[in-house]
Amino acid sequence: MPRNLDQHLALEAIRITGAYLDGQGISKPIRIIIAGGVAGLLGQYLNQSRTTADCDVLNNVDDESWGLLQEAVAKVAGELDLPKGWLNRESRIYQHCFAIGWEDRAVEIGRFGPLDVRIISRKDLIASKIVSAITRQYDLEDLQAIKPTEQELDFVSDHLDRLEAEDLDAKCYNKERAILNSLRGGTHE
Amino acid sequence: MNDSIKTTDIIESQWARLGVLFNCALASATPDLERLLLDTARQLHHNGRLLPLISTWLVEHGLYVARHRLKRLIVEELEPEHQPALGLLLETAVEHGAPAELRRLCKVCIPSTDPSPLSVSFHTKPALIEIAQQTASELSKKWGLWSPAIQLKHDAICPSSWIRTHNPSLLPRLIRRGDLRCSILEVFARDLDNSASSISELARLTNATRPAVYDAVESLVCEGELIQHSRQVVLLSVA
Repeated sequence: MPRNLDQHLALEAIRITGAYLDGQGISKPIRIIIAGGVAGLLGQYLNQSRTTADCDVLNNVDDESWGLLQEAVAKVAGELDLPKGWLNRESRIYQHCFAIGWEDRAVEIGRFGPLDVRIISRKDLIASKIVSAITRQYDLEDLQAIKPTEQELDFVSDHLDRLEAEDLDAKCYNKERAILNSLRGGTHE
Repeated sequence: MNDSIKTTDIIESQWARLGVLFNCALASATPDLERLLLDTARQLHHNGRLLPLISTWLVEHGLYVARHRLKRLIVEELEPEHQPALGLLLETAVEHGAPAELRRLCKVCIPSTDPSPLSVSFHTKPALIEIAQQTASELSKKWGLWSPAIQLKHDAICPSSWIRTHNPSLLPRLIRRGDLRCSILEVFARDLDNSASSISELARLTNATRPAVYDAVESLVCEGELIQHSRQVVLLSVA
C-alpha cells in the first residue's frame, strides 16, 4: 500500500535516505529545500490532517547528486511503501514565483548523513499559498487557518509588487492582492 | 473542536479507509459508500480538498458505487441545498474519466439557483466572491458553486487491490461494475434486515423498475447470493 507522508513518516523517510547515502560512502553534502505540504507539516505551519503525497524539492541540485539521491529515494520507497516519486523536483518550475531570498530564509530541519534538509520559511509558504489560492480554493482555507501576521502579509505585498513589476506580459496581481487583503485584520502578531 | 471540523474528520477517515491518502487513522469499518458520498457533498463547502480528491477516487474507482441505491438516496435523503455540490462532484469526475454511468445521477441533482463560491472561505469578503466568480470553471457555474477547474491527484489514491484488501465486502460491487445487483445487495446489507417482503419493496429502495429488479434478483439467485421464497426475497450471503 502506498502510504501518505505525515510529519513523522516524512522525517523517517528522509532519515533513512540520508543513512543510505552515507552507507554508499557519499560525503559531498546534498542540500534540499522542501516546499509544499510536507514543508507545512515539518514546520508545523499546517494542520496534520492536510493531505500531502510527496516532498517537493524546490532548489537546484546538481544532476550527479540528484541521481544519487533518486537511487536512495527509490530504495526507501520500497522499504517504507511510499509512492515512487515521494521526493521529486517537479515544483522547481514555480521557483521564479517565490520571493527573492527564499533559499536564504529556508529553515534547517537537520543533517542526515550527507543530506542537508531544509524547508521554506513560513512567510514563503504563505506567499506561495496566496498566489495559488486563485486556482486552488483550499489554499485560502489553509491561509485562514495559518493566520498570517500583518508583517508577513506586508512581506507578501512587496513580493506581489515585484512580480507585477517584472512580468513581461504586464500581468496584474489584483486577485492575489484581494486574497491578501482578505487576510488582514483578525491576524495575530 | 467545532461540528464542521469533527464531521470533516470523520469523512476523511472514511475515505482513508477507501484508499484516499488523508493523514488520519482509517475508519474502523468499511463505510456505507453511497451515504459517504452524500456526506461528502454536505462538507464540500468546508473542505476544499474533497472536490479534487474524491473526483480522482471516482475516476479510478467509480465502479464501486452502487448507482441505483445512490440515486434513491439522493432523492430521499440529500437535502436540496446540498444537491448542487453532489452534482458538481459527480459531473467533475465524469468529465475527467469516471464511469459514464455516473452521469445519469447528475441529472437527479438540482443546480443552485443562487450562485455563490463553493468554498466558504471565499464567502467572507465581496472581493473574494468576485474572484471566485471570475475564476470559476464552466461546470461549476452550471451548478451554481463557483470553483476553479480541478487537477486530479492520482498520487493520493490507493490502487484497487489495496481497497479490496482492506474492504473485502466491496469486491462483489467491482465484479458487477456497480450495476443494479450491487444496489440490491447493498440495500439488503444496509437498509433491510437481510430480507425483503417483495420485489416492489426492493424496487422502491433501489429506485429501479420492478421488471429490472425482478431480472436482477433472478440473476443473484443464480449466483447464489439470494434465495427466493415465493414473493419474499431473502438474502443468502454477502461476500
